[in-house]
Amino acid sequence: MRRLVVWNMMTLDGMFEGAKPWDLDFHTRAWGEELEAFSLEQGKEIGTLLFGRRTYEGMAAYWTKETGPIADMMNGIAKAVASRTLAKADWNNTRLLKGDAFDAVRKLKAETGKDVFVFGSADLLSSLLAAELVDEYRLCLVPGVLRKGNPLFKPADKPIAMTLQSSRPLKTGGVILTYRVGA
Amino acid sequence: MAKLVFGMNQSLDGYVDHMAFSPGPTLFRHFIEEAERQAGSIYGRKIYEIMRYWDDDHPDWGPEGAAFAAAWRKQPKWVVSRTLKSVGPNATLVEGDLEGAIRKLKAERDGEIEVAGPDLAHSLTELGLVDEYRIYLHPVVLGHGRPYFDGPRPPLRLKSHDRIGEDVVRLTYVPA
Repeated sequence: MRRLVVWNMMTLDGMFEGAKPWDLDFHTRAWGEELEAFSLEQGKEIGTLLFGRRTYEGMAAYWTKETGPIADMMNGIAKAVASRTLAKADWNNTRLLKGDAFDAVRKLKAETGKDVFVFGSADLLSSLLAAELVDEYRLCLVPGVLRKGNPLFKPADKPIAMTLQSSRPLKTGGVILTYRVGA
Repeated sequence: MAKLVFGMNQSLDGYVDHMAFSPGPTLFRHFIEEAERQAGSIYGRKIYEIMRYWDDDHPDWGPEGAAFAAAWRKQPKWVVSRTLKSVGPNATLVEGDLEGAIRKLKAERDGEIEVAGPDLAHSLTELGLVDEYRIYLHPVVLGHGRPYFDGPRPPLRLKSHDRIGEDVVRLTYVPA
């Protein structure tokens, strides 16, 4: 069974996006050589990159215009988008997963190969986390506070315990934290 | 000149909730050492009323609980409240001009003075009086609660990063 690993940059107050969609300026506070190297290394672990519709559309629009090693990785890697409303998924090497998202993700995890990674996609993640389909959170905590923004973890009634695997401060002041879901 | 430190236990999704985090033994020992070192604490009303638990002896304490209580009782406490009429042992009500009173406190003392909770920390941040933000990050997503950061913050710089015990990461930020 493949694992589902989440990677996101997040402010100290839990935002992964600013008040407007794709407002990601806060990334620059933590971005630098170390994160770039980390992203490329992490890329080698990814079997399938899974998205919700909104993140998929934004990422496709952005990366198809970019060049460089990270763009090559994003454009080349095997991708999947879970959506009932998307008619087609045109970004290179993408599978469109229609129908029930939980079933689709379970099948994806059951495939052999390297792990499934999720970037962005907070709405999709919220339901996957509640359905116990998320295995790991890797977060780069950015030394900033947005207050108005889009939280990565959506409001919920029950707490979810995690187990700290590692924490790594970066020269920029970002901190990469890895948590396994579950106590 | 004393340094004001706003330190709190926080969930991954940014909430502080004194009921949600019961520190493990290593973290609790850390808090005892901090309480012994601090020059005092400035509290808002809500958190002061919660902390007054330590003014009384409780039979279910082990030696750790007793050690924390001893350290906490020895510290001077300053309570910022317009509604409280009286405070407990070794505590003073801060009345009148908050900024003036806190600046005087910082000038008269040395060492670290703890600030709690998020409401008071927000007011003091707006006055430019908080020197350090210490987030004790716990491995839990709460889903709701009071945010640690309750208002606009100055740009922050990571000053230090420590693991405390198995699963808590202490992140210290200073205004950049």
